[in-house]
Amino acid sequence: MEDLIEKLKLQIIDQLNLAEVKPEDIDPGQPLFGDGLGLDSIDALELIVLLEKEYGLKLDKPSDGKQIFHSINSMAEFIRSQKTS
Amino acid sequence: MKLFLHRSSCISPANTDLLNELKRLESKDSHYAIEPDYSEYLSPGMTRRMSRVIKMGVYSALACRDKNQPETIDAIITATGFGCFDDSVKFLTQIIKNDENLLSPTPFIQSTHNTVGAQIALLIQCQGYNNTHVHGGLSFENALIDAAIYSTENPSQTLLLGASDELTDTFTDLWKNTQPNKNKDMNLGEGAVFFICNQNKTGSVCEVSNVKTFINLEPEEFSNALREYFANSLNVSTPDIILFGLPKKEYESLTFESMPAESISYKEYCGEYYTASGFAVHLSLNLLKARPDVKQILVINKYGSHQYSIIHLKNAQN
Repeated sequence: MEDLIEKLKLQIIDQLNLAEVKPEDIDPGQPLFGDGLGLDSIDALELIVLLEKEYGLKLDKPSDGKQIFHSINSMAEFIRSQKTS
Repeated sequence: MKLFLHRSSCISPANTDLLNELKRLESKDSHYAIEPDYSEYLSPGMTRRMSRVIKMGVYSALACRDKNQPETIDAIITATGFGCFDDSVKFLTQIIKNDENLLSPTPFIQSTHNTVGAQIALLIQCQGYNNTHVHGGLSFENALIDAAIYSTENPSQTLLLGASDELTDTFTDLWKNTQPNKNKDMNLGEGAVFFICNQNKTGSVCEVSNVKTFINLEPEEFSNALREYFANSLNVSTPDIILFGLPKKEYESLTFESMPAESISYKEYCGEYYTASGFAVHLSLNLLKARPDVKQILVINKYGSHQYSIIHLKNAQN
C-alpha cells in the first residue's frame, strides 16, 4: 500500500503538472480538492484519465468520485480494492 | 483611423528595454523568447496548466498595466497566428497515440486560439468585448484595426490590445516543409506583446494613424502599393524611421521618393513569426519615448511570401 501511495503521488504531480510540489509535501490523508492540494474540476477529469490509463480502472458510478478522489489514501484504497476483487 | 497607445510590454528574443544594447540574432535558427520570472504576476498554481504562449501573453498583458494604479480594462483584443500550438499538438498526438481514448482535458481546453484573451479576462475580471484575430501574418494588423474601430465607437473605454505566438519544434518542422526555399533559412522567433490603448491623446506615446493590409501581392505590386501610400497618405514626404520586416534585398528594391533617414530591419532582433509586427510597434513605442525628435515611423511587414502590411505611427507626445 505504501508503494502504491508513493507511486500515486508521483503520477499526480506529473499528470497535473504540480511542478512546485514534492512527493514529501503531500499528506496522503489530506483532501485533494478545496483546502488540501487545492485541485479543481479540470484536475478531477485528469485524475479520472490517470486511473483509467495507469490502472485500467473506470468509475462505474460518477457519484462515487467524490469519495474516491477525496485523498491519495482513498484513491489508493479504491485501486487496491478493484485489483483484489 | 486613430488609436493612442499609452504603454506596452513585450516578451521576445530581444531585450527591448535597452535599445542601445539590442543584439541581432546570430545564427539562422530558432530563437526562443527571453522569458521573465512569471511569478511576478502569476502564481505557480495559475501557470501550471499554461503553455508558454499563454504565459507569455498573459504576463505581457498584466505587465503593461500601471503597477501602482492598474487601468480598468473595458475590452481585450488579441492576435495570434497559430494560437496555442503546443497544446494543439499535444492533444492531437494523444488522439493518435491513445486511439482516441483517454484524452487529457487540459491540452484540449487550452488549445483554442482565444485562450490567451480568455485567461486575461478571467484574471482581470473584464467582462467586456473580447475578440481574437487569427489571420496568419496579418493577425496583429487586423487586431489593431478592430481596436481602432472599437475604440472610436467607445471613446471612453480603455483596451488591452496584444498578440502572442510561440515557436515549437513542430512549427519549425512545418515551416521547413511548407515554405519556399528562399524562406527556409529565416531566423524563426516568437513573442508576446500587449498595449494599453484608447482615444485619449493625453499621456500617450504614439498614435496609430493608419493600418493597411495586402494579401497575394508580388513584391513589385507591394512596391507600387507602398509608393501610392507615400503619395496619398503620408503628410510629409518621408517618415523619420522605417521599421521593415521583409528581406533586406526586397526592402532595398523598394523605391521611395526620398529615402528615410533611418531604417531598421526588426526581424534581425525578434525573428520571424506571425505577429512580429506587434514587436515592431512595441519597438517603435520605445523609440518614440527615447527620441522625441522622431515624428513618424512606418512599420512595413511581410509574412511568408504574400502577406504585407503597413502600420503608420505618429509621435503623440508633442
